[in-house]
Amino acid sequence: MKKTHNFFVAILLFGILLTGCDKIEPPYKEGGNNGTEELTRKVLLEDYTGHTCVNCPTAAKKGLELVDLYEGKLIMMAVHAGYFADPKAAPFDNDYRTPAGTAWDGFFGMSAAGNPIGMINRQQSQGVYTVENGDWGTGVAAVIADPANIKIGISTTYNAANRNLAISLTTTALLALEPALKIVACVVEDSIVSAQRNNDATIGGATITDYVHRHMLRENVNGTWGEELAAAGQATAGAVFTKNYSLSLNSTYNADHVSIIVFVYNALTYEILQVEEKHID
Amino acid sequence: MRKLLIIILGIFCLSTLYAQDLFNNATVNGSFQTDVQFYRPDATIGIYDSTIAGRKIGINGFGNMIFTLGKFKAGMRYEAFMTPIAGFDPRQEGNGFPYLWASYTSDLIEITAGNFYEQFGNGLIFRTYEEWTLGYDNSMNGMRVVIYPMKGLTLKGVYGSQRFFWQKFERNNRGIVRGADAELNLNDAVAGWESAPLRLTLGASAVSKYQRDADPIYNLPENVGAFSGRVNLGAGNFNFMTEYAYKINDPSALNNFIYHEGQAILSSLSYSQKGLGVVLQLKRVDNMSFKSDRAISANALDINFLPPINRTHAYSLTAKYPYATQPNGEMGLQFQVNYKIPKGSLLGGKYGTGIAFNYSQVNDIVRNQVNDTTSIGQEGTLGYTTDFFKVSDHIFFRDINFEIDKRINSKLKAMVQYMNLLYDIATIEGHTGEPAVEAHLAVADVTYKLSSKNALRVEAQGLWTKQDEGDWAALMAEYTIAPKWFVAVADQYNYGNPVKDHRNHYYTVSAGYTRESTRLALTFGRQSEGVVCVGGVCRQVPASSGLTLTLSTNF
Repeated sequence: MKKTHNFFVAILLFGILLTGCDKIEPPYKEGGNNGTEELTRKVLLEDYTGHTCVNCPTAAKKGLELVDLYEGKLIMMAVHAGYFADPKAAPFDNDYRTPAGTAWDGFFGMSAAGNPIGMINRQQSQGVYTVENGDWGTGVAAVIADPANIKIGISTTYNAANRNLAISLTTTALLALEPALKIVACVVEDSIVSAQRNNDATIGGATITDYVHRHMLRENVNGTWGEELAAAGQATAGAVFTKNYSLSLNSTYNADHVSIIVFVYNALTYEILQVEEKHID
Repeated sequence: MRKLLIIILGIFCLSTLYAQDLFNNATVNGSFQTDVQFYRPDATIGIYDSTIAGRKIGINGFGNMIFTLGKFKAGMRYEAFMTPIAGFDPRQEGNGFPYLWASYTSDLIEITAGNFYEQFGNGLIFRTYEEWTLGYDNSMNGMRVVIYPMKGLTLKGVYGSQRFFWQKFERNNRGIVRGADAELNLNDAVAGWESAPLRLTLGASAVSKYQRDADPIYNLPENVGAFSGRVNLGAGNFNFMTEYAYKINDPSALNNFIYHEGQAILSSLSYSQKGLGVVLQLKRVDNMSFKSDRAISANALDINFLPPINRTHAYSLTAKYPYATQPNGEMGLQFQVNYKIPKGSLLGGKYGTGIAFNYSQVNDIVRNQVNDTTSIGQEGTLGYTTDFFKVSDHIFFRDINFEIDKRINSKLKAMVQYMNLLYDIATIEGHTGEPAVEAHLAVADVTYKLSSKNALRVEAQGLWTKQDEGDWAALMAEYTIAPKWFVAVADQYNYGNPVKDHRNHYYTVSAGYTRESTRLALTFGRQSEGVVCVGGVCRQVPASSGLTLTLSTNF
């Protein structure tokens, strides 16, 4: 009787665990919810990558799927940095590294944790900034509907003849912000066709010589860490800050594919509070 | 007032007596280890000041203590990686007590609160463990109960969260694991079977993981269950073991978010008698990565363990291309024979001769398209269908090795080994597009005893391949003055590297001193660069050059 009782307890335990299963039936993918708010905080997804990183195309594909889902609200920037971005023998002899990308990669511990890896608005959890690509969707969804507290306006004037690019930034604090704020402006080039190692058969072969690199960071306009936008306590509600820059666009960039990404971050925590992107014209 | 004083004194005396009694009956044991590396620039192997980036010293250390008082035990492990030594995940950087626990054990029940390690069966659906040298720890933080309701029956129950570097568990930042296991040893449980010629043990486990679904793209299962059953049968000199595990759909970063179910089977048949041991092992794994965070592809948060069935090599070159289990799918077998040619026979000589043969091979599984419009492994689909018994032609790994060890006289003993290796570097290390490494290796290891305390050991190795980094040679000489001292010099030379500038020497000079249970070892030299790919993430393990100091003690 005692033995029967024991087995009954064991079976009951397994029964409880058996019920702890969620068998999912198709469709496996959801439509998602990209929200309808007019002015929300936009999100920057930084994809730390490299042309010899075999798993990076899969991550890039996932990031772009999210960009499509959150049309206009999620901005993606591919930062080539670390060992897998080093120039190697042809066809991997191009150097897409940038001083800013390399500095961020080291400071936030990105490629050292393994590529592909990302950051979402440079938010950290218990001191860790890295977000693995499997978590990009969840991470973006968690902040995509946050209200905006900063508005960034970008206007550009590009002279195709002499490749001069003038950038004017108008940043408005929508409410009083206590921390010191910094602003970073980056030049990003889209659709660069160049070789990429790959491990995802649904994307291509082991070496894709005509891989389309999307949203690639090319250079920083105002330094790796940008410049001060407002000292602590200076960003009162409604305060407007303007910054003007001009640069000569590198001759190797295809101007038709160049955008400016601008973000404002908390100078103490590095968290990005608002981000904006504009194609140059 | 006087009465009060007497009462206080009485309590004090009693508590002192009790405390004395407590400490007389209690035991404390533990261990400490510190690994320190000092780095220096070494341009030949590509280490510059910029590579070191100011981190001239890396230190990993731990202290482990266990307090025992009768049926009560408590323990803690302190760790500090400041900064972690080269090759360790930068997320290790930190210090604290990641392992704290207390337990009570009686004949009926064993309860552990806090951190614990546990394994169900072979670990196919649950195993937590710690491996200091790899920086791996997937310990549970929760509760563990073991009940012995009757002779021969063991019931286990666990729940909690797993360790992820230094990140504390917070709601929804990773999954929760709960599991149960039952094991019945029929020879112990059934009266009269105690000395039966047949020994039979049955076991069954179930594990479930809960993780919230907040993904905007996929419809993800929040509760993922895994189940397994096992049999261990012994008869005479034979032993047979098999375990089968099944996991429901578990889309994750590691399987590219496919909804295919998971399966694994591990079987082993062995025969042993004096001087002879034969083992045959078979394994099939299909989509059995099981982590408590589906988004993680790094080497962390594994709920289960898929045991490798390949020989673990101990020499530096034979261990250069080690196989790593492919949780997304593999079929493997291993066959091993150990035979000792008896003393006094023609081949056995005065001391006997040991012979070992080992063959292991792992292939991919066969995957078929779910339908015409879905490619194999496409994310957000069932992924593929597979035939359980079909083996793919794609070989991940093959190791054929043969070893003879012989004591030639009372002073001299020798071991020689030949190894033939096929290593699919594209799959195992993520070097996509690179051809598989086909290599021949040979090792000779000779020990000469100069006196009862002094011995000289020389190791010579060769690795010959046309792929990857080409040919290597390694030589090592070690002088031991038992039981306290050793000094060793070693060099690995990549003389056949296809890039002439990379034909480097990786030399080391080391010395060690052991006294009682304390050991101090110093090594000066170079370590070659490598790229480690686990799951879908590749990490560069940088070359390093400098001094390494290891201090350890047990008490």
